Parts: sequence; structure tokens; C-alpha cells
Amino acid sequence: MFKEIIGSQKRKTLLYDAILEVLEMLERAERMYELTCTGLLKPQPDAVDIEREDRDINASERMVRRMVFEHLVLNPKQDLPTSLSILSIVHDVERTGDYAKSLMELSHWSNADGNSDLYMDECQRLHRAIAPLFAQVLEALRESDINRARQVMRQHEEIKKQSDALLERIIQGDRPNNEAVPHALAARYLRRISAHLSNVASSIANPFDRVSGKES
Amino acid sequence: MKRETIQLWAQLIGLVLILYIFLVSIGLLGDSFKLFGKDLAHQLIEMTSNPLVGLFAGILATTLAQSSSTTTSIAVGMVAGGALTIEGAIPVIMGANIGTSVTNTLVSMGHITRKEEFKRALAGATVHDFFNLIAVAILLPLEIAFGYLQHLSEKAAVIFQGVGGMKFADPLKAITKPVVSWLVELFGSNPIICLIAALVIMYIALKFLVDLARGVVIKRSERYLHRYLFGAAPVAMLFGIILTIMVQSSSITTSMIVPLIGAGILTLEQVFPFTLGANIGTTVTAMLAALATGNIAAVTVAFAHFFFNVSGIAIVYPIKAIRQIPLKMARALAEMTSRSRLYAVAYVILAFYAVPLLLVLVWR
Repeated sequence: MFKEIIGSQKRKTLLYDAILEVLEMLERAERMYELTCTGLLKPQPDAVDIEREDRDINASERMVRRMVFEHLVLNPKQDLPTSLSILSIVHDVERTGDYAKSLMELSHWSNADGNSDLYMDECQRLHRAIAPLFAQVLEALRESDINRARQVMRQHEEIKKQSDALLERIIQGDRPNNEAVPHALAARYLRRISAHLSNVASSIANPFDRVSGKES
Repeated sequence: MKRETIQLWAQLIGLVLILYIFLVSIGLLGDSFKLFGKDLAHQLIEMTSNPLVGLFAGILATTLAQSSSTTTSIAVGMVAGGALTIEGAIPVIMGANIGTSVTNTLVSMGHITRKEEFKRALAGATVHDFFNLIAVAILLPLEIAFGYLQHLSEKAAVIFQGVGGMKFADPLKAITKPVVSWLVELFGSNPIICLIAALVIMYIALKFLVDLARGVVIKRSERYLHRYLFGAAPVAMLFGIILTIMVQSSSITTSMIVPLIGAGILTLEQVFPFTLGANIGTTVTAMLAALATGNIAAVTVAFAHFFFNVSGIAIVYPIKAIRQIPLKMARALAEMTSRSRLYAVAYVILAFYAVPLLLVLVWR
């Protein structure tokens, strides 16, 4: 459904603008995520950028909501499922940005010595597994590619299992709280980022009432 | 050719056809009043010699027809047919301006079950009402005392005629006249049948004209609305003028923004200039009708409609303290409705129906 609207060069509506804004938000969220990549749980020199990106994402979310609302007021019978899907997607993308920011804040509060820690390696592995999902979701949105969207949802199921297993090991492990808590939180935040990306993918692969649900 | 392109062309051809039928109805209206003869004309002129009767008749006619274009077009047709003087038509047109604002107020009632939303929507809708009321409260006494709108409009009409404006309108009259004459003949030159037919055709044509224009224009205007309505006041006003000219109905343009105000997306300050623009844009219908009659007095009335709205904006909008008056009045009414929503219902019934009807009956 997005492909047709993006592809419509003659009849550009506010939905067209809203979808472009959502894609831009997702690219911004990806940039934020990449900034947390180089030193997960380590203080980041680019923290200012991530703050700005987060503010921009929040502003974009408001703009997208406004555009969709205006479109529905003026053209109530047109593109209703797409409009509602965009509202759902924009929320998930905003949450992705929020969790990327939370990872960054965690790196500032944490004193963990990342490179030597067992959990840190696992967190980094999770981080690396999630990174390509952004590009895949972007592509799936642009092309309305159901197969690619399903692939993202399946990858999320794997990431979810890995994250839960890591969390279990952290809880059962004997590390002191000041080391275990940041890793547990990082594992959780990464899982949430993956889940929100999977939700976005589900808006392409699933019927409207099952958006944010499992693959149908 | 794509289906959408074919649909657009069909809509545009439909628009031209309906506009033609509308202009024919104006011609028929003028002719039917001529057929009535001088007696009825004298009676009508005498009845509207009291400007307050004209004003409240204008309000009542517009609220009942839900269209100021219908009222102003009838006034123009009556002037062309000699059944109404320019002096008598001006208060009717002022009344039409007030009456037309009932539509967006009624639209705001759609939010009545949600208190805060309704408060915002009602304020956004009634700011149009209060501006028109203030404009009439200032300009009608001035008009009664000095006839300034009439003088100004007569001068504008003379200039318009001088630069060949009426010649420019000749083709309009030329293409409608044969059909008008044919209809008069068809109805056996019976003035009552001609009048009824003219009013029915006009009402239906205007309804279809607005519906079609809305289909063609509004759907395609959403990106412009998003861009210009949130911009600077002069831009929003200009957008209001252009959009209303294209849709041929200020009721449509001022009503479509009510849900946006209700949702809190647009503020009163943002919609106010747009609403004022809609007031100017709607004057084009009367001008079209007047040009179709080819009658200079009718053109004068159309100019009066335009100058009335421009004067109202010139008085109310530039000075912040004055500009705030309609905004404050709209907010005060909305605040009252937060105590009881019956105030809103009472306001609509009293201001647009009961009081005008009562006063027309008393002063008639």
C-alpha cells in the first residue's frame, strides 16, 4: 500500500508526505542506533547528536500525526487502512529512537569495562544482529515487500530468544549489581528496538488488526 | 487515459455545465420579476426599505437555504429584475454574510459529546459569526447614515463599465439569454412558475456546483492546506480567498477546518485570517451572477458584497485590540458551553432562526 502512494507522482497527497517523513524518521533512528554501536555501555562523544536526533524524531512524529489527521478530515473515505497503519508505524519508529537514546544514557551512567566482560560480548552480538534490520525494514516499507517484512519478523523472534537467554544468565550469574544491571538493561533495550522494528514490518506483512502481532 | 484523469475531466465538464445552468437560473429570476410587473416590485421595495428587515431576512433566508450564495444571487437577480433597490439589497447581503456562518457552527455540534473538543470546535466556528456580527454592527449604521458602500460600489461599477467590464460579460449574457427566453416561453410567461423554476434550478445548481467543486478542489488541496494554513496570517487569508473562490462556498471552506480546530491542531488565531479570506472569496458567486444579468445595478450589488467584507477586515483585523474582540467573544461562548452545552444549541436557535424570524415579522 505504501509503494502505490510513494510511486504516485501525479497525485501527491499528505499521506505521501507522511510516508516520506516516516522513512526519514527510520533513517534517523538507524543513525542513532549506529552511534550506540561503537561503544555500547561506554561513554559516547556523540551524545549531543543523539539528543538532537531524538528531538527531531519526536517532532516528526507529531508532524506525521498532523498530516494523517488532516488527510482524514479532508478525504475521510480514502486510504483509511494506510492512514491508521502510518500512525501505528510512526509510534514504533519513535520508540526505536527512544531506546537508542536510552542505550546512550546507559553508557554514560555505567562504569562497566566493556571489552573484557562476557556479557558485553553477547550484548555486542545482539547489537550487530539488530543493525541490518533497519535497512531491511526501510526497504520493505519502500517496496511494500511482504517477504522482506516477514524475514524481519522472523529475525526478531531469534533475537528475542537470544536476549531472553542472556537476561536469564545475567540474573543467575554472580556479577555485582553495578555490572549486571547495565547489561540486563542493555539486553532489554536491544530486544525492544528489535520488537519495534518487527512491529513496523508487521504493518506490511499482517492484516491491520494483527499489526504488532506475530507473523500471520 | 487513466481512470483518474477521465474522472477529473468529467468533473470539470460537469462544473462548467452546472455553472451555465446556475447562470441561466439567475437570468430567469430577473425575468420573472420583470414579468410580475411594477406592483410587486413596489411592494418588495417598500418592504425592504427598512434595512433591518432586509438584514434579518438575509440572515433567515441564508440559514434556511444553508447557502449565502443562494441569498446573494437572489438579491442580485431581484435587483436586475427591478424588484429590489441597491439600497435595499445591501442589508440583505450583510444578513447573508451572518447567516452563512451557521453552517460551520452546526458542524462544530458534531463534537458536542466531547466537552473539550467541542469547546475548541465551537470557538473556531463562532469566530466567523462574531466577526460578521461586528462588521454588520459597525457597517450597517454607517451605510444607513452615509450610504458609503452604495456610493463606493456604484463608483466601482461605473469604472468596471468604463474599462469594458460589461462588454467582457456580454458573452455570458449572450449564451444564457436564448435558454432563459426559451424557458420563459415554455412556462407561458407565467411569473409565478418562472420564479419557482428559477429558485429551484438555482438551488439545485448551486448545490451540485459546490458538491462537484468540493470533489475536485478539496481532495487536491490538502497539501496546500497543510502548508498555508499554518503559515503567516496574510498567506492563510489569501489561501482562504483562493480556496473559497474555487469551491464557491465559504460554508465548505470554513466547515472543513472545524475538526482540525476541535482536535487542537489549529488555533483560533490561525483560522481567523483563513475565515476572513473565505468571506472575501465567497463574493465571487454574486459577481458571476451579476455579470450574467448584464445589469449594472446588479454588478453594483456584487461590488457592495465585496466592499462590505473588505471593509470589515480593514476595520477589525489590523489593530490587535480590535482583532481580539471576535476571538474573545468566541472563547467566551465556548467557555459558557463548558458549563452547559445547551448554551450552544440556544445560541444557534436564537441567533440564526428565532430572533431573525421574530424581527422580520415585527418590522415587516
